[in-house]
Amino acid sequence: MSAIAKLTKAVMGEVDDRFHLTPVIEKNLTRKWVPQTLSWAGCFGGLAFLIFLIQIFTGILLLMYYKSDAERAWDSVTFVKSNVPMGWLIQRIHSVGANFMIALVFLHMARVAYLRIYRKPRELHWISGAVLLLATCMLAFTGYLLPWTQLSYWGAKVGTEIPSAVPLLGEYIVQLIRRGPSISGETLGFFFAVHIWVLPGLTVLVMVLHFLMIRRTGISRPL
Amino acid sequence: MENCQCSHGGAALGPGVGEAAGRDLAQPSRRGFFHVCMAAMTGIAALVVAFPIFSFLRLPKRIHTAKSIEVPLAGLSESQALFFEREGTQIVLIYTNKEAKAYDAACTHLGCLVSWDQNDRVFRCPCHGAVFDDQGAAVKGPVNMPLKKVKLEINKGVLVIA
Repeated sequence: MSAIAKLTKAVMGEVDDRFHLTPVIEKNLTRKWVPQTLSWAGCFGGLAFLIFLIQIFTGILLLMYYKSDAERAWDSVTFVKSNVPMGWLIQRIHSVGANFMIALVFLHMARVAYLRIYRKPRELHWISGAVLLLATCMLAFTGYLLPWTQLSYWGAKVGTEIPSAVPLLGEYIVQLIRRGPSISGETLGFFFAVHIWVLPGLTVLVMVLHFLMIRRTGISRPL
Repeated sequence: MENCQCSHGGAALGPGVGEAAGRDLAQPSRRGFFHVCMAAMTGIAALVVAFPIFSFLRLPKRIHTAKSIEVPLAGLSESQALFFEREGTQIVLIYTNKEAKAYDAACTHLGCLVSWDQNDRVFRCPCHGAVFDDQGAAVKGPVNMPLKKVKLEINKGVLVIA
């Protein structure tokens, strides 16, 4: 214990000589105190972010075995669940984590709405948060199709039907999202690309902006 | 305050007080105790997270790998080589002058898979041009070790690669 502490101190001393890192860490993390009046409900956003990190991590693990091919997708997910050590756990964390993330994003949003934190100077926090809510829902929706089960197939069928209500362009948008007239292997490939690259990329970008805005204005303190 | 066994001893060890009184450093302090507890809990939490991750990275269970391969002799022809996979290694089977021979298809130079050239009746390695004759002996190229022989058995007209 003390040996580790000594080693850490020695290494950090050398790093600080060059980069002055410790004051930055202290200012932003270890000595950044939470306002006393803030309740535990102020954690919802941070918890949603934590789950996002877990989703990224478990997602990378699942990606090692997943095949975005209509012939093999279901088999590859079944293989992870039954043959890969702890695969069932990683897969379950990823699927249940999605539900938790949506729940936390909604709780976070409900609190911000109820306490009217969205008012000036935090209008853009709210708007970027709304983008993150949509991105989270889309992540969940696209991920739902990937195991290629009956449930995911019909879920995607119903979900992609929604834009058909748009006047004139509706049917075209539906086909654009499905990459064809019906849910097929092309839909799976499209959802897969969107699920693992497009939406996580967008989410990370908007999240960084969201956090920078919070740092700039400071968090809202209840009176 | 030293050797104090009384019930308010805890309060005497509050921040600063113990140090100011020249507290015996061998005695565990409240703060030190909590540090150890925190470190232990963090360690346990880290193990709980690390265990499934490292488990996941282990080799998955594979379903049924054939240990021996059976080929009916009637199905063999002079003109072609047959390739089989057995427990991760490629095996090549050739049938020359009514005699079947099997070799480990990995070239003895750097392990590329050889192919059978029917016209010249030799094995050719695609990587560095090694050539082996139908006995598996090295003929040309950067090798001098022969191809590894694989044992064959004939059992009631069925060839068994064990």
